[in-house]
Amino acid sequence: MILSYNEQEAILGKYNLQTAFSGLATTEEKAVILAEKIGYPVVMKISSQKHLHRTEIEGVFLDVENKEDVLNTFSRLTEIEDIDGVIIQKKIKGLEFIIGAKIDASFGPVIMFGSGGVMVELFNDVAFRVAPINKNEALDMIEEIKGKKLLEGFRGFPEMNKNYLADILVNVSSIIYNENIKEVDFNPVIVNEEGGFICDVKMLI
Amino acid sequence: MIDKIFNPSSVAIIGATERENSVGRSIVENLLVSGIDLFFVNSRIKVIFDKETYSNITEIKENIDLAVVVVPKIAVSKVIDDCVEKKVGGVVIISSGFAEEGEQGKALQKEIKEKLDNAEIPFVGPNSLGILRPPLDFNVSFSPGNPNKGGIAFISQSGGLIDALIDGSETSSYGFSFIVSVGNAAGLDIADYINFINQDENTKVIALYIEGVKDGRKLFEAVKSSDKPIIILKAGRTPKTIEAVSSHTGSLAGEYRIFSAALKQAGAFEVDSFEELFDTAKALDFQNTNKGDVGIVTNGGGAGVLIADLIYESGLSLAKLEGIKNPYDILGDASCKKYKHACEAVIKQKEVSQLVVIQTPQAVTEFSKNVEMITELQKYNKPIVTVLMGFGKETKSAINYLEKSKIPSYSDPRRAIKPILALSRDFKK
Repeated sequence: MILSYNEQEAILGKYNLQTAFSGLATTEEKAVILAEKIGYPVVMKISSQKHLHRTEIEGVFLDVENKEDVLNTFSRLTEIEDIDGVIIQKKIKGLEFIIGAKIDASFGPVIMFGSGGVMVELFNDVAFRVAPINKNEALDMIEEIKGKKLLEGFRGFPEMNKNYLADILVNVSSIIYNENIKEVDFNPVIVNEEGGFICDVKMLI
Repeated sequence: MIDKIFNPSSVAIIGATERENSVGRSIVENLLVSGIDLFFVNSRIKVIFDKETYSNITEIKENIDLAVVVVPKIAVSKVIDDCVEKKVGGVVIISSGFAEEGEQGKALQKEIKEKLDNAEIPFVGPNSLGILRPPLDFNVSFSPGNPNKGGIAFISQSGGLIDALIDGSETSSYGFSFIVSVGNAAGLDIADYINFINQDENTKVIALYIEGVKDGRKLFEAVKSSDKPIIILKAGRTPKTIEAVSSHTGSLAGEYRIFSAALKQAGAFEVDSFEELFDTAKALDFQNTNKGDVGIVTNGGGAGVLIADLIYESGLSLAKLEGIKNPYDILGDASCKKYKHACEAVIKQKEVSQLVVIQTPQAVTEFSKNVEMITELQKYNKPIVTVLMGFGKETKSAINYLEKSKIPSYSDPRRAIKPILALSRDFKK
């Protein structure tokens, strides 16, 4: 079962993890207030304990530009069944990565880190570790994937701080080790000059 | 408690026999040289090798540390009942036909496991070739012979690979402190053996052949807490071969990646072939590790460039040498004097933590003088690896000399790479 938005936020808070600035709206008024507070453009997506793959059912809109857009998107999203509301989130620009954790049948709690977007689909560019891990092990994981070159300033990309990602990895490894959770999926985690931002969270119990 | 299995004062062999070409006879013969008190149990034969037998283990008055079970599988369950009644210290089950042979065998294995677990008696197998501790002349196995004594402990999920290793062991330069055939590992598993062998003073390096483990976490913890270097050869890496190892389903391709990552995280060194496993184990047995960069001396430019490529590709670095190129090519007409001068110039440098000496057999090469000189370089307390290319008589006797002096030697730069890499690592966690 997927944890609810509020349950997930509570666990993230306990481990000093923050999602990219966001809120849950159940009415269109609230959606507009949140969007204006966060600042355009925003991301709007369904919050649901039923739907594992939101993109496939058109449950995610990435570039919502203004109030009218918010209202239209809200009504489209709320047509989808079995949802708890609509998440309004700051649109973050930067390099995409994925962080996951699960209970392996043989090794118990394990954590995964990989390049996001097409890199993970095309090249399966991921690293695994047994949880929990410390910061050095997290930095080692980052060194292991090919996508680390992007973090080091490849072709004019600004050099990103690996520490942001390492801190998230350490905390996710503690979640899967300590909490009664079967699977954690952060996809994407976006890194830019300001930090590492968890943009989408799924936790399964 | 497991000490009763690995270091018993008394052993009962249930299913002992004199019959030619039988597993029971091999075990008896292998154990006879150990000097341990032996008791033969056989309900049909009264005397074996001039010794009276017992028809049941429960008839033996003395305490039995270890019972070895070599009876046909249908008789195993009853024999285990007797072992429990006799309160033996541990059991090695050689008999096969259990989980490796389908559902019926699985049920039988579960039954004997429950009996022994309830009685808190540790056991090896079933379907095990047995255990050997060459330094103690202890061989409770049906191995075709006795391997050399040495510092390598080999824990294997395949009995056949153990036989392959023992076959011709007398011609190889390295030897063993421990050989364990884990069989189906229904009782003791690879992690238990690692934990025990970690305390063994004869063992310098642990080599593992693994197909699959039930409790990966336990293995992870055992490897992590081991003080000795551990080298792993893992079979069943691709989805198709994983099917062959077990009938697991699910995200198969991912499983090997997690295994490999976990064992690496725990500090193990992974290799890709049986040859690499013992090429590397030999190096770690002969030499001590020293973290850092490599210095190379060669009398052949080609061989030097070949190994330099491989070193860079493996992620290692060649040391920056003061006033000398690395690899240091002393050219084909190099005398022993020139070799000595070059090797000392390289090994003495602070930046060099390991010396690799390459020799190609050229007209003026001084084979025996060279190897004597290399042996003396051990006084610098840095690991030395040699590559002696060529297959002639003089090359062969030079290799023999080096390996007798505990300097590993390889016939090809490629084969030297994993050993060089392993010696440049810090295995202490």
